[in-house]
Amino acid sequence: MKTDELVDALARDAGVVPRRIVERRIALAAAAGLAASLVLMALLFGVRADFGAAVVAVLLKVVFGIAAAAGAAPLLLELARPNTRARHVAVPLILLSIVSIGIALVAFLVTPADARMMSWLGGSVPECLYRIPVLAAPIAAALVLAVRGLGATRLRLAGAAIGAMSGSLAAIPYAGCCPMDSVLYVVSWYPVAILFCAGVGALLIGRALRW
Amino acid sequence: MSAYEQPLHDLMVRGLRGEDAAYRQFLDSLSGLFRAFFRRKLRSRDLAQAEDLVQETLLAIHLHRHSYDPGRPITAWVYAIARYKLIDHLRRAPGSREVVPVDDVDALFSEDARDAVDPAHDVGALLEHLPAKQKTAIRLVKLEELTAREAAQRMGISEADVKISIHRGLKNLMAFVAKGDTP
Repeated sequence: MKTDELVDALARDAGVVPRRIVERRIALAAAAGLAASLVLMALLFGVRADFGAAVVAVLLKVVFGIAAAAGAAPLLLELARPNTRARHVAVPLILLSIVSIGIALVAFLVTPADARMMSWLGGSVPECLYRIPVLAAPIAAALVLAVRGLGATRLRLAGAAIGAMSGSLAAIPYAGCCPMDSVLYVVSWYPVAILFCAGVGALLIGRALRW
Repeated sequence: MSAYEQPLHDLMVRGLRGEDAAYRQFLDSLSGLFRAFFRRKLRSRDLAQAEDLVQETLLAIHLHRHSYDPGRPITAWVYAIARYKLIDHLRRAPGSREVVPVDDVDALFSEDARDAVDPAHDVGALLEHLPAKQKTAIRLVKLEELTAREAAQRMGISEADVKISIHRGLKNLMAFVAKGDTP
């Protein structure tokens, strides 16, 4: 078949393409993944016993997850498709990281010196470092399904964006079981867990997106 | 910004709204640009192979057009796909280590080549290797002048099923052309 015949064939009865498919697919996948992640949190880790008393702290942590997801969203929406402009879409996430580091510094300064280690580490290795990635897994799986077929062209970056997004969203269910309410803990370890998810995403998910 | 941006954007947007003639013109403009681009990048080693890449990239453009957002530059979107296909091709060709810059959109929009040659692998012949339903759906709608609805009636399946079969079939075709041999 000659190329102009192929062009004719492709254009014949090509039909109308609905708008905003990328946004809708990703939003749907994020919602489904988030629901699965919530169930997983309740089953694996259990909602914290003092949930009622700690509602304000839980909500603040949920807000952190939402903010991180909002920061990762422009990156993911850009990298999910044939990539056109990747640089400035990273700005929200960079700003968020700077704000996060700023809050961590302030929290460090206002915490009495003898309470700092406890407030920072919670007495042992921060469990969010593995719990957030575990809870991110179903979200990442749903996002991979949504993003496949959209024609991502920078696969590693797209994988990292999926990882960062799923890690950020996973912070929302994780807030329901996280016993640490200190600001210093949240703004230092949550981002590390999200970064870890982004790294795993770049290594593993990038490959799954090949077309 | 390339002089191609405005006219191509216009054609693509009209194509997405269902104007097949505009979409046809869009793909046709691209085929000349792709041809010049791939010949240059492959250093014209093999014109038929460059033509394969042109067809493969046109298929990829078509299969991913739902991910194009009219708020973004069309030239960059098209370049990203052409670049991806080129790198994919180079990766399979042993010994080639050409670097294809991410941002060099102008490389695609500098030259036009209208002298189509025959491709190395015939997409029409590859059609034979598709599952029967996909093959029939593509043949009826894409090669004979039937609408999806008419094809659905003739095949005794739903219109949505026809469209899905075409989409899957074209995807398989793209994979066949990329592999460069029959499955």
